[in-house]
Amino acid sequence: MSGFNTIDPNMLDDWLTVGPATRVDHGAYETKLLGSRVRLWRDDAGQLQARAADGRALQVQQRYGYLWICASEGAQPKPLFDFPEFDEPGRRIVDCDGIGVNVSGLRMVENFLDMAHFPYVHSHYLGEVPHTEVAPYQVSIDEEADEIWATECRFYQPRTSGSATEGVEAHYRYRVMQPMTAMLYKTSVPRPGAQDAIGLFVQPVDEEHIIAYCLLAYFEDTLSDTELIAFQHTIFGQDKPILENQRPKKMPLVAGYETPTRCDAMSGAYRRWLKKRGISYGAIS
Amino acid sequence: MAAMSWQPVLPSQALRRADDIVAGFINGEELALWRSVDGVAQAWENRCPHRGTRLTLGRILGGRLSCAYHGWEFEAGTGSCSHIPAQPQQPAPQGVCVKTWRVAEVQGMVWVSSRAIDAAAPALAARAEQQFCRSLSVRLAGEALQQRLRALGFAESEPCIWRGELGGVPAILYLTEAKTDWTMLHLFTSTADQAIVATQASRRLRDAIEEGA
Amino acid sequence: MKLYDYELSGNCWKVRYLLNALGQACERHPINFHPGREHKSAWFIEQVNPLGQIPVLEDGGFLLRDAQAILVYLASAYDASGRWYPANARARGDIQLWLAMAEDITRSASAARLHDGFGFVHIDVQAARRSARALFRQLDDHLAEQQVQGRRWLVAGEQSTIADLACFPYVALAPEGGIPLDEWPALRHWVWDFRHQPEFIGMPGILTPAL
Repeated sequence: MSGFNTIDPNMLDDWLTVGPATRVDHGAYETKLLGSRVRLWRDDAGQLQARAADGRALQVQQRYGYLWICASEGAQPKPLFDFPEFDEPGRRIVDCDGIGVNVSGLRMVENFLDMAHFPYVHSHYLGEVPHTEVAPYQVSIDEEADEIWATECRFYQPRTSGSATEGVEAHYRYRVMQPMTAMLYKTSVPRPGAQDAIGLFVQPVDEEHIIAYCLLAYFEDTLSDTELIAFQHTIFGQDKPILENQRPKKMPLVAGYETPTRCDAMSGAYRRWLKKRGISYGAIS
Repeated sequence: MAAMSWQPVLPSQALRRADDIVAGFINGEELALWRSVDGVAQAWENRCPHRGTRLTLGRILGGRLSCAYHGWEFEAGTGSCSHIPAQPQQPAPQGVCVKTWRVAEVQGMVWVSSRAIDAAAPALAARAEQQFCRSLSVRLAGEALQQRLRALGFAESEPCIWRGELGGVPAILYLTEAKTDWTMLHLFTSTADQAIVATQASRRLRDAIEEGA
Repeated sequence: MKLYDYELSGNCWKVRYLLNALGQACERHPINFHPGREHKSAWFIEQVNPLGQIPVLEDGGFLLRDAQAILVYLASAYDASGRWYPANARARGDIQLWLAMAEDITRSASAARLHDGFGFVHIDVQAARRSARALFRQLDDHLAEQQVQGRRWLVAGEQSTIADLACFPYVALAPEGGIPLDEWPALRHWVWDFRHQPEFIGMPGILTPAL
């Protein structure tokens, strides 16, 4: 009995984020994870502590400026994913913190991996009619890390980032590290040839409520943090009414609800990967 | 969705403008209602078959309903998908369809029924009360609501149709049970002047229905 | 002119909207509302707004806070047509009612949205939603009375005014605070009509009909 509202090992036996490490800078921090309250703080020795609602100690670590909890007692979670860009010299790390969204985390990640919505949801920013066609790209599984990659993605973007002054064909790569974490890499405007990294870390508050945190690892030296955060919040804020108006809120992994197409290659790979892992949390399985 | 025979869901007037897409709520279902270019009312399940996005967030483009998420376009009448912008060179996939309901416009109201039901649309006698006033929500449904309506002087004249007086003018209420605890009352009177009076009185009607419950 | 502004603020959007409709250029000074809570920082409180709130407009050294006050100022100073804030006593009296309602909507519907979306955990969200629902019922009743007389807007007239502009965004964004608009058909029609005006510009959370 985990004390949390699930028996899904994808959630219980792995690392889940509960927010930026700054949350515990000034005392204890309480939040909700998998339907249950958790409490975190730094003890007098500066060590991170985490407790479940019933007082059980939980494994906790700080990585990439974020706090990660393993909800299951006695589990040996595999190491958290690599994010080498976080420590790469020359990159600015900007924490956009989190936006609460009333939907399953699985739908949030799927939206993050999707390009076909750019001209409709992010019109004049990440896409523009009539440049709606999604050119074929490559999807592969890194079996060792158990991660999914989409590469050779490209899309015409009128305003690919806060500092872009003209339209570009942006080159993208996408990566899924866990059911609730993903990364995208896209053309850097000031440094063509290099890619900016944008991390999405989803805190599953419950099956239909999440906090979507975003961490930027950018090559960028003209815009302020405020401007970079504002741009990212604009993008997430545009996605929010779509996500909150998907029915059902949980992602259907059974036949008969939804229809993929060939240009949904990455989302198809994500859903197959989730099914193979036997995910039930936030899903209709 | 459970099979459902003809019920009123919206006044025809709610679909007056060319690009309107209006949400309808009936028996726990959500519908997206709009008009084709030739003015025929459409009642669709409010859910895109691609990723489940509510169609009421979308737009009408060239007489087709375009979903807000990926711009998939659906044809009036059949609800079939005819265009996927992400793969514009390819013909639309076969058999990808929004679920549609049968629609009939009778006496100023839009009526819907499941496709599984074979019954003809209600053949209502012509009535003087064709002037739409307003649609209002009451937090009551079923028998409890009916008791309140009777107590307030209304009587059921046909299924889902109640007659009475409101603000001193004769009025008709079409009832749409949206959920088990929520009903929409669609109010009609006979003239424009009466409509103003009845609309102004409708707040008191709603309060009387809810307070007495 | 300069506007202290945040992309996801409905109150800031009201000012951006009217500036755009009036064709007025304005420099935007982005404030790190979330997560930085910059509007509560010492410099902002000392130099811009002692109440620690946005939007704040600066026009030639004149600093004005409060979205509704800024709408009155901009319409008075820059709207030669008088469409946004008609210069007759009855219209102004009516408009004032709705500007006051707009403040109530901010305190309720916007507060619920801040709780659900921006981590404002100390807001009593159930109370905020209850207040918002009561206000939306009032708005729906009023709009039903307007619509049955062939009127579209809160205050009599062919075009929307700052009354509609002030009330609109947190009604349109209310579902983000757990308040769906399903029960209020006249209110939904008004939201639809407002979004379909030719000069409409959206914001994240409020879809623009024209792509």
